[in-house]
Parts: sequence; C-alpha cells; structure tokens
Amino acid sequence: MSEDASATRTLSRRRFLGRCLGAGTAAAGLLLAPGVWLLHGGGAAAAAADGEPGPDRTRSSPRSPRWGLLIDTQRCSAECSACIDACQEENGWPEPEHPQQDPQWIRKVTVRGPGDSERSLPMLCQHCQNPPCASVCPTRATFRRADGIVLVDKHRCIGCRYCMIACPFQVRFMPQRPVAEASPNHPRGKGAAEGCTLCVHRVDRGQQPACVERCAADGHGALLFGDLNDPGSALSEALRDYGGAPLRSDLGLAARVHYRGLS
Amino acid sequence: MRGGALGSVQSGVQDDQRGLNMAQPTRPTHYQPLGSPIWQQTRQWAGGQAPAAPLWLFWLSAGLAALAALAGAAAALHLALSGHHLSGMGTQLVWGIPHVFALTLILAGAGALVVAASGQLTATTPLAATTRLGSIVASALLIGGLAVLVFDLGRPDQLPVTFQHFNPASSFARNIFFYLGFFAIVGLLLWSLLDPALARYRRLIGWLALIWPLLLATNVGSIFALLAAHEGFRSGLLFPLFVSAALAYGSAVLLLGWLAANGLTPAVTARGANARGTISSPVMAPHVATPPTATHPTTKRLSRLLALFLAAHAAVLLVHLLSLLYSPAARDVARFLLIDGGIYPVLFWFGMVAVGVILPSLLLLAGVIRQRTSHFAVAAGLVLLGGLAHLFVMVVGVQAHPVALIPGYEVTGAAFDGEVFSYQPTLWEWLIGLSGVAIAWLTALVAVGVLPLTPRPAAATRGSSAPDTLDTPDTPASQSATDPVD
Amino acid sequence: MKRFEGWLWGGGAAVALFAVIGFIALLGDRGAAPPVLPEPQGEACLLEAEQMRREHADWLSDRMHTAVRLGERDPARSLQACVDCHAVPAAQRAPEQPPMAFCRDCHTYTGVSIGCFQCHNERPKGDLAELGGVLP
Ligand code: HEC
Ligand code: HEC
Ligand code: HEC
Repeated sequence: MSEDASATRTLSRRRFLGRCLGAGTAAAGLLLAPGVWLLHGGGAAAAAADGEPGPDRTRSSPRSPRWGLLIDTQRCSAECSACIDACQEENGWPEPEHPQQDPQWIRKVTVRGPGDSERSLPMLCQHCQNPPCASVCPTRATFRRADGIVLVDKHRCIGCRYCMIACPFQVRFMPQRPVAEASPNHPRGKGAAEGCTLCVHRVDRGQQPACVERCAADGHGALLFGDLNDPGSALSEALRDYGGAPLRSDLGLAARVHYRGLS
Repeated sequence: MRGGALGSVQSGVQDDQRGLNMAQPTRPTHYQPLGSPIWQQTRQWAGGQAPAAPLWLFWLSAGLAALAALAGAAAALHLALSGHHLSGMGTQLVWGIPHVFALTLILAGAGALVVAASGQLTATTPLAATTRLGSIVASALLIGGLAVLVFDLGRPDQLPVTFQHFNPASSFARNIFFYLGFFAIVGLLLWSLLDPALARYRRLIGWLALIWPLLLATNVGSIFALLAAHEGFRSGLLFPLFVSAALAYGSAVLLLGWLAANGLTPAVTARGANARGTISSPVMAPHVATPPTATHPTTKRLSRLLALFLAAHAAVLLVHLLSLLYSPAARDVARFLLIDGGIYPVLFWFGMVAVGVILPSLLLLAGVIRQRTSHFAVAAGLVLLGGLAHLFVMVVGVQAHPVALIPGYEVTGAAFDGEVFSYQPTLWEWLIGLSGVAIAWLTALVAVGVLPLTPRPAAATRGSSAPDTLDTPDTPASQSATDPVD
Repeated sequence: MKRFEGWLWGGGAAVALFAVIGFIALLGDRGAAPPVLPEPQGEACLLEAEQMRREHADWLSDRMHTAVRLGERDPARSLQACVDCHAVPAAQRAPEQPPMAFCRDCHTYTGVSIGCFQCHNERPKGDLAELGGVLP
C-alpha cells in the first residue's frame, strides 16, 4: 500500500500494530502472572485467607485444631450405606430422585485399580487446604474456616455454580428443586450451593460427624475423624502407623480427607 | 494484489484533507446532530429521500427483540421460582446453553470495542467511521451477555451481594470489574467523540478502549484456563484462544452492525438509486442490497479484518487442539470432543470448522472478488454461528466428559461417576440464551435510532442530490472549527 | 434548552404523579392498626423487647456472620432459638398461618420482606419432637 500516513501525527499502520503488540504483550503478562500463581495453588490459600475479620485463618496455629478424616477403603463395604443414611437424616437432604441433578453430599463410588482390585468408598467434600471452590467464588461465599472445614455461607451465595465446575471431586451441589422442609440442623434452599460441612454444627458441639458415628455403630468402622494438628490424636496416629493419602495430590489441593488402601 | 488496496482507496481524498489540516486526525465522515432520533428524521425528510430500510422494519424488529427479551426474562423468573431442575443442567454439567450465548456475546462485544478503538487511533483509515457504532454495538453485546448470566443465576435476587463482597482470586469477580470498566470506557469514548472539549484526549481514550477489552477477553479465558478440575479446560492456550475468538466475533458483529445500521439510517440514498458508495442493508432490508456497498472502504476494511482475525483464531485453535492431543491427561477428553463424543465432534467439525471457519473464509474471498455485500453479511453471520458451536463444544462438551476423580483408576458410581452427562437443553435455557441476543439487538437498535452513530453523506442533510461516497470529506465548517488542533 | 423542554415536562409530571400516589397511599394507611402478634413462649426475649424490635435486623445479621464465618455458634442465640420461642405451636395454628406468623405479621405491617425461612426451618423443636425429632 502507499505509505501515506507516515508524515502525519496519526499513526501509521505499522507503528500502530507495533504498539498494539507491545501493549498486548504487557497486558497478557499482567494477566497471566496471577493466573500462573493461581494454578500453583497460591490463590486458593489467599482466597480463603483474607478479607475476613477475626483470628488468623491462613497459617495453622499449633493450638487451633485441623479437622481431618481417614477413610479405610479396606474396611468399607460396597453393600453398606450407613454413612449416607446418617448424613441424610442429620442434614435433611432427601434421597435423590434424579441422581444427575439432586444433591448427594456423600455418595458411594466403586474404584477399579490397576491390579483389577475393586474398592468401594464414600466420596464427600475433601475439605482441601487449597479449595478451588473457594478461590473461584466471586463473593467469598465459599470459604475455609480456621479449623480447615470448607463451608458455604449460603447467605452470600448467588448460585453461579462456578464452585461446582471447579471442584475436582464433584461434591458441590445446588438443590434445583424446591426444598420441601429443611432440617433445623442445616438450612437448605433451592439455588444455593451446598456440600458436606463435616457436620460443623456437631463438631462445634464437640461431637463427631454423623457419618463417622454411624459407620462405627452400624457400618464397618471405616471412618476415623480427628485433629490433624494434634500428633496424639487417634487420626494422626493411624495416619502415622498405617498411612493414607489425600486424593488428587497432583493438583496441590492438600485435601484433609485421607484414603487408605488405594495404592 | 487486491490486498494492497487495503485502506488506500480513499488515500487520495485523505491526502487532500490532510493538506488542509495537517495536525489533526481527519474525520472525513460526519453524523446526524445529537437529539434527532430516527423517527423524527424520517418525518422531517418525508418529502425528500425515502430511507433505505423502511421505518416500520425498525419498529417491527425492535418489537420482536423486545418480545424475545421479555420471554427470556420470564423464563429466568420461572426458573428462579420453580427451580433449575427445569433446565437440562445437573451436578456435573452446570453451565449450558445460556452460558454459551453469554460467552459469545461478551467475547463479541470485547472484540467489537477493540476494532472500534483502533478506528479511533488510526483516524485516517476507513475504520474511523465505525468507532461510534462499534462502541455502542460492543456495549449492547455486553449488556446482552450479562443479562443472560444474571438470568441464569441460581439466586438472581442475590445479585447485589456481588458488589458487597469481592474475591479478587475469582475470575468472575475480576470480570465484574472489567465489565464496569468497559462501560465506563465506552462512555468516555463516545463522550470524546461527541464533545469537542474532550477531543484532545481522544488518543488516550482510544488506547484505553483498545487494551481494556483485550484484558477482558483474557480474563474471560481465565475462567476456564484456571479450572484445574477439568483436563479439557486447564490450559494456558485458552488465553490467546479467547482473545482471538473475541477479535473474530467482534469484527464479524461489527461488520454486520455496520451493514445493518447503514440500512437503517434514512440518510442513505433512495433504493435503486445506484450512487456509488450506497450502503444499504442486507440484514434490515435485503431487497435493497446493492453491489456498490461492497466496495465501500469501511466495508472492505472490516471484512479484511474479519478474514485476518478468523485466520488467527483458526491458527490458535489448531495449536490448542494439538496441545490437547499431545498431553496424555487431556487425550481422553480431546478424543471425546473431536472423535467419539456424539454431538460434540459433529458440532465441532461441522459447526465450528466448516460453518465457522472454512465457509466464511471462502465467502469473504468471494465477496471481495465479486463485490457482494451479501457475501460479507453471510460470512459474518456464519462466523458468529461457528463461535456458538465452538463455545458449545468447548464449554459444554468438556463438562459432559466425566471428570477423572482418581487418575489411573476407573471410577463408577450409582449416579454420574465415570459417565458422560447427556445434556438436553430445555426450552427455558434456549429462551434465556436467545434473549441475550435480543437484548443486545434491541439496545443497539435504540442506540442507532437515537444517537448519531453512523456517518452519512453531507448531501443528504442539505437535501441535495445523492452523494458520491459516504466518506465525502467536505466536513461542515462548524465541525472543523470545533475540532481542536492537538 | 428548547430541545429538552419535553423531557423536563415529562420528568415533572412523573414526580408529581409519584407525590400524589404517595399521598393517597398514606391517607389509605391511616386506619391500619398494628398487628396483634402471637404470644411468645418464653419468659423474656434475648434482648429488651424494645431493643429487639428496633435492632433485630442488625443483630441477626451479626449473628449470621459470627456463627457461620467465625465459627462462634451459639444455639441459644441462633435463628432456631427465635423460632423455638416465637413460632406458633402446631396445635394452635390456624390453617393458613405459617409457624413464624410472629415475624410475618409485623413485617407485612411494616412493609418488610425477608427470605430467611426459605432455607431456615420455621417449626419449633416441640413440633419436631412430635415427629420423632427427625424430619420426613
Ligand atoms: C426465650 C424465648 C425467646 C427467644 C429465644 C426470643 N424471643 Fe423474642 N420475645 C420473647 C418474649 C417473651 C417477648 C415479649 C417480651 C415483652 O413483650 O416484653 C419477645 C419479644 C420480641 C419482639 C418484640 C415483639 C413486639 O411485641 O413488638 C421481637 C421483635 C422479638 N422478640 C424478636 C426475636 C428474635 C429476632 C429472636 C431471635 C434472635 C427472639 N426474639 C428470640 C421471647 C423470646
Ligand atoms: C415488631 C415488628 C417486627 C417483628 C415482630 C419482627 N420484625 Fe423483623 N423487621 C421489622 C422492621 C420494622 C424491619 C425493618 C427495619 C430494619 O431493617 O431495621 C425488620 C427487618 C428485619 C430483617 C432485615 C430485613 C432486610 O431486608 O434488611 C430481618 C432479617 C428480620 N426483620 C427478621 C425478623 C425475624 C426473623 C423475626 C421473627 C423472629 C422478625 N424480624 C420479627 C419489624 C419486625
Ligand atoms: C440459602 C439458604 C439460607 C437463607 C435464605 C438464609 N440462611 Fe441463615 N443460614 C443458612 C445456613 C446454611 C446456615 C449455616 C447453619 C450451620 O452451619 O449451622 C445459616 C446460619 C444462620 C445463622 C446462624 C445459625 C446459628 O446456629 O447460630 C443465622 C443467625 C442466620 N442464618 C440468619 C439468617 C437470616 C436472618 C436470614 C434471612 C435474612 C437467613 N439466615 C437466610 C442458610 C440460609
């Protein structure tokens, strides 16, 4: 083309494109940097951490408990659903009519390993140290408490479902049908995200989660609840003695729910 | 080569103009005065020239769009009151058709603003004529897309919370910031164009309006790029992919808007009068499409930009697909999306590749050679359809593919573990998605009707004979006087 | 200026209409009597009744934050506690009356709308005990 514009103060196309490239690179850099940081889990910790008044919620102070769960897949039996029944009764979610849509705070899955060994195990919120659901929540409705329990503050939830798509375990739900009647233990409403609370209302009273209690009573004693920060707790001892690992450690989630006997 | 003609069609004219007024970007086009909405203009000109697109078409189209918008709002209300089980979405697949529409609209809006802003920065090029229109079309699209997002919320009544609590780590929350900034910048841009007092900041504002939507598109990409849970999403390549998508959809929509808006403006010559440079709209008034429109420099420039951006988008897409196929963790989902995933490969190869890339490329080429406006319009429309198909595959398809709960193990369950989610979008979701398009269309229509957005020949104002070209450089004295020398 | 005259007239007319309708609405409200609220169960409210009447919105919002986000749950000061004292027991309820008619009646009178009981249980523990403490 005829290089006609160069003499004037208006941009020539070449200079314009050059500047666009420069500006674009700078902008992309600015945007990518936090992204990369987020991918490495830094964002999750920060998201769960700041903005809220009260005690320090980032670092594990040695005095505050860190609740965790150990699931022994060698004990869990495929036929048993004691934990699910207990959770339904305690938190008032009904048997799912449409399993693809309705909430199941805890569900049983069958896992077939490399050696064709088959295991049955309960899948529930893994209460990650770096919960992706909390870092993506636009209003900080999902957050991690000081003691490590990941909760939804439903009063803030707008129902965008970003947390559901961000969860690697698909243990985030949104009641789509009207909720007939909520349990006094846990208010529930259609359109607000929810998931296992580790029975926070019981834990704060000094009790164990309902599923753990029922598994010990009616099931096979496959669930162990305890304080990961207390080296003397039964949970810490069991983890030390028999081992157990969180799922998807490749994602840097540092889940607080551990599974034993998977690998 | 024809490509060499890019922008130089008008160069003779522009050089003249520059000779007269060296120091300022030339604004060879001019506009209706503020405060004369389209319906008054026609009345005023009833004795003069008939509008290219009859006014009843304006009202009809506005009315239909309003109806569709209302239907979407009603569907949203219905879902909010009765529950989202009436949609086809579930625990595994949480964003469906509405999100596909919303993303397409938002990306197109971002791209349209980029193109419009580049017109502001290179004021001597034919793109300058699209700045006003482009900024309005861009915000109309953004409004449409955001409306869909709000309609789709589980608890839309909680929307005010998003302004009370803000999590900067969340792409959604960051986006709210980018959306607000977008509207502010469009406001500034229009202000700087309409008010001579701000003319000295035109370049600064132009740069802002160029960079901001690029950041916005990147941030929209981050919604998915940072989702570690899905192998099909997690990828740094989604950032350039969303930017190139935005540019492609944006230039497509601006081309459509340009053609449509010029058909609406009564200033355009009477139908059949084949004055050179007549713009008449194939969208608004197909019967008056005349070949010379295709040779209008702005149309040409926009169509070439579209071709360029489409090619860039296809290139990034190719790299993205290859990277998916090469990464062992993502190979499964890549297979699903491209080969054996049922509807998704069909939509990808037919919808995105054939209809969204190949066909429009051919049409653009043919449009240039045979100088047909309709080719440009159809090509732009196909690019947008392809965009919808692509986003459907990329957003919905990836969710439909089962998540690897425990990599290396085969996980099955009573509910949905290990199974492909079969997504059947319901009427309500379609209504909500389409209402976004309707809202964008309605907003743009009203804006085009009320604001002086599209340039028109000087001759028409004076009621004299049909003008030669739209970019007639005889700017009225008043406008030159108010354009300060910066 | 002339160009905006129409707008000015239109805006003025809208304001005038608003004022007139508001005035009529106020006139119509003259006869409205405060509702007679259902009798609460306990001895006294958590705060002075007068203070509770004025401050319960902020107080509840503060409890909401403290209990859920800071983890300082206190059953005696939870929303369920309000329900246990203020809900109308199942035996005394009129057919169309919600258990928490206490809140609703006053809010209808004062023109407030709350969505709390879309999620929160509004039946007192006594009611629930009849059902075996467990919800259907
Ligand atoms: C121990 C039982 C008890 C609990 C718990 C309780 N209230 Fe009350 N409340 C009462 C009684 C008794 C009165 C009447 C006091 C009076 O009239 O002096 C009352 C009065 C009130 C009033 C004033 C009503 C009027 O006549 O104007 C309001 C408002 C109120 N309560 C709100 C609440 C809220 C909100 C909660 C929960 C945070 C709550 N109450 C918890 C027993 C209780
Ligand atoms: C005596 C009348 C009265 C009674 C009884 C009453 N309220 Fe209220 N409530 C009001 C008024 C007036 C307001 C609005 C003033 C304000 O926001 O401070 C209000 C506001 C509220 C709000 C805030 C609403 C908003 O949108 O900001 C909540 C929550 C609320 N009430 C809960 C309750 C609950 C729960 C009960 C029953 C236990 C109850 N109220 C009983 C008069 C009452
Ligand atoms: C979307 C459902 C939902 C709605 C609507 C809702 N809540 Fe809640 N609320 C919850 C959940 C879930 C909890 C947490 C309960 C728990 O963890 O023990 C809670 C907890 C609370 C608590 C603390 C409970 C305690 O044991 O101390 C208070 C107080 C409270 N809500 C007040 C309100 C008020 C007032 C409103 C109405 C303005 C309201 N809530 C509306 C879901 C809801």
